[in-house]
Amino acid sequence: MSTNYEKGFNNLPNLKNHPAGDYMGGDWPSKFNIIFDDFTSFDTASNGWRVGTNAGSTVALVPTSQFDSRTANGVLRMTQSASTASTNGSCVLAWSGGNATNTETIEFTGNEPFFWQIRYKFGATCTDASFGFNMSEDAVMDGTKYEGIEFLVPGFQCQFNPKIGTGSDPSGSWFKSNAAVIGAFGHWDGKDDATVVDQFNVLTFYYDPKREFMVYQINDRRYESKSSGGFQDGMDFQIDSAPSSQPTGKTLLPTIGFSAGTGQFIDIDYVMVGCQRPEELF
Amino acid sequence: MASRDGNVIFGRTSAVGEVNKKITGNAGVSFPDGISNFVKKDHPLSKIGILDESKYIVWHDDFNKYVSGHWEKTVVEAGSGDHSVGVINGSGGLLEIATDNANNDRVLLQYKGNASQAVGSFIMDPKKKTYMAMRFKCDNWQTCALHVGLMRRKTDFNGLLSQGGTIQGLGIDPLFTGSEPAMFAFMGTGTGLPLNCVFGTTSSGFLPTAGDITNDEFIEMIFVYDPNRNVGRSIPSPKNIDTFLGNVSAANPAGQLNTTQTYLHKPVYFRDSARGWTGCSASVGSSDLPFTPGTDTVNPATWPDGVNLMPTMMIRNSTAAISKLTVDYLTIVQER
Repeated sequence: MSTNYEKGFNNLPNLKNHPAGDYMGGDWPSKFNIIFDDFTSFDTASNGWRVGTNAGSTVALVPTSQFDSRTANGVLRMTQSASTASTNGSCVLAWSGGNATNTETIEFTGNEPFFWQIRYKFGATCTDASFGFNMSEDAVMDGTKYEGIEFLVPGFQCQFNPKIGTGSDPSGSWFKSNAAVIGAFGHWDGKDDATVVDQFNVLTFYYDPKREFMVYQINDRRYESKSSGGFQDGMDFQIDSAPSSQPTGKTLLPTIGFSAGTGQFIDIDYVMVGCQRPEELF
Repeated sequence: MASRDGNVIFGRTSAVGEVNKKITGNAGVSFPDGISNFVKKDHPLSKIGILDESKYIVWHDDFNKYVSGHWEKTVVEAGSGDHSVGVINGSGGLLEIATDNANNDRVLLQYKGNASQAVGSFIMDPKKKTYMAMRFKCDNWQTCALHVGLMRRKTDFNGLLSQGGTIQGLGIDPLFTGSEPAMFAFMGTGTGLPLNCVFGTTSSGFLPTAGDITNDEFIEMIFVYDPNRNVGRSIPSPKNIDTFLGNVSAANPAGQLNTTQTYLHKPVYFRDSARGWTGCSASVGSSDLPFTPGTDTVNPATWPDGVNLMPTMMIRNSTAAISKLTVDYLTIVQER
């Protein structure tokens, strides 16, 4: 049974610190700055994404008949070129806010919560398919192709590939923050949820500013990502207090990239990125 | 389970829930079984853990994106013809509205959704709570007229005071120049100024002068209209306005003529980087409920009775140079 507040509630400080604090009976919309796209519709004029396609690659809603049974509505499919593998046939979505160029709107202050979540599914035919989800400055993926993780650029970058690696083969999945790869997460043997094909996965990131926790989660499992030891089952959090590994003070934008073998695809159910505004800004 | 060792979780305990206890930094309250705000506990939807979306009319744009088809745009440009409207890089999503570079050029945006022209999404109901919040800046406060808030549809405009419409929100025509400086209007009509707050007058508690707000400095404003001022109700003050602490008294109850009573009827709050939320006292001291005492009748001269209003942003320059209005967010909330 849910909890019911008949007179409403809000998420504001009290009236001493906010004019609407003791009056508003619902959430105050400007407390968080959030981009959320459920992909119930998709057109570049209104969704806010800039689309990059190459050699006939496509980005389009999945026809209704192809919906996964666990998906309510709205799935965006990024399909690699049928003739050109890898970067030259890749797809990119980058936030543009209605402009023709990338636009950065979400700030990582280091002092406020910062988060994202994306639900995705590799197509059943995916073998060597790099899927990247990044929160970074315009310099990352500023073009129309997905060229993989980019070094020496502030931001958070994740990349997954169902290609089965072994031992020291880093083709499984990677995480990078700011100036260098600081660790891999996910099974190095390729059996991690993050890279299982034909299965929807939810990737969640949460940054807690008070204790500088960064939490990465795939489905219901959390991962440590700082060490070089790869997957560490049961390690719930990463404490990353080194300022150099965080893009503190940077205003970031989401980008989604897919670079694979010909004709392979990935489905995106939804994506959410956001941050809390500092109290003096809402 | 209810835990105060980190995130507070009410409801079932899960493996993830146990882990959540470790997140102590930003301890929020989590309701895994959902939360609702339906007025009646026996409402069919009060048990399924979703909020009553119909409780408030909420219009909010963070301007992470700008969809041109959602706004009716009226432009007057006599210069090089290069006005612009679009999201620019910046924290929070910033919509920049830039005029052309000739004197008296203008850009007016009014929300229309996908309709052929702007439509009135809001009608001010004097019996319902209404909130408006905005964060914005101007690149030259002294040479621009601008408006952010609600206004009736207007496609031919010469400014704010002469546009003959109804202004709800911020209006500047222009700021800090001459004897008619900024105005924070809850009702502006015709060429008169039945304003709640006018900066630069002796009746204003906060008297900014040129330099208090610098060009390209973001400021925030919140407008609160709360008709629920029952006798005996305690009215706490916002920060920095201790003089407005008090209770609504039986001698001067809600709905009576304006007094020095501490009614929080139509207050306007201002904040810039130099101060916390500052109440504009004139907006409190000169305001009262819009009803004729003892009736439910409002005066159309001081209340936009039945007027269709829509989210609006406008800038007009008064020099032969490009002027820019940048809006971080605009929020309009009205109780149903």
